[in-house]
Amino acid sequence: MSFNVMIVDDSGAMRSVIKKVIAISGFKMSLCLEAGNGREALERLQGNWVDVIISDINMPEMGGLELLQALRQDTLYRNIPAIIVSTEGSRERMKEALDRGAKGFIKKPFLPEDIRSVLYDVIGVGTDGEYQDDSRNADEGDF
Amino acid sequence: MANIKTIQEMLTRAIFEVFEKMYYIFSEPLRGNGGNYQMKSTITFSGSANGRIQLLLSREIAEVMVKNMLNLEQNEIDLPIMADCVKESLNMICGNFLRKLDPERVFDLSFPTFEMISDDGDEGPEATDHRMDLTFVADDGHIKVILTAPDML
Repeated sequence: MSFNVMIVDDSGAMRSVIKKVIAISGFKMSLCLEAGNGREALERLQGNWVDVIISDINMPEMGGLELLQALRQDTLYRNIPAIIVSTEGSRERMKEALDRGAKGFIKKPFLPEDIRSVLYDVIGVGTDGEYQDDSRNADEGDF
Repeated sequence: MANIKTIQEMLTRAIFEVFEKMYYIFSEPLRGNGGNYQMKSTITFSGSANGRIQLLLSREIAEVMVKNMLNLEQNEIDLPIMADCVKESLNMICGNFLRKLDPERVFDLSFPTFEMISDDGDEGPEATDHRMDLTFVADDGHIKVILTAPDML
């Protein structure tokens, strides 16, 4: 099974790294959309379906927390799982992201395994393309 | 608030973690100014502590960062890509340091700025108050980080 991903970060270098890590982790991507901020992400979502959104927090125009809020308020997008990848990792900020609907949180700097592990937990699909039992990683992860 | 030695240790660990995890650059602390720096990025933060962090790098180090992070060839590396990498590295250093300084509360971070400089890294005696300079040496050059924080230093 392959899936569609959207990566939202104002750093093009960081978007490239995340995309590369997902690819080398064995997840099959049929589509990888990129956006430089939350507003661009919402624009790019129109006419495109994605299975997971990976977003930074601190971005110009519209940040990641505002993006989470906008996704949650949209009946079409509210069930798309979102993962935050950010330098901001205080407990207060992580709670804020969770409250706004984030399903995972990865702190920068990260190791490739960090992204693989959280993606695995959030989308419930292993690198072999098989769906996993939801209870498998219930006690793992930041949340 | 943490004492100066603890702050230095936290900032040093943050620098190591960012350069080793994201850029595969391993460095060692160095006494003194290091070398010449051609690139400077600056970020400010506010919250339970306020201040500014500056990152000074040689062009050679920035090129290695881009090569290692993005797996690019030398002819694919240009200034905008290097600037992006340098700003993002400072963003990560700042965020990582602040998480160690106060893991509970939120800090507001500015968007990092980038500029080319012609500088030996010594900004003169007027800039030494409330400031901590950390210099590192890696295979490909020097890295300098300056923390300026009146309520911490």
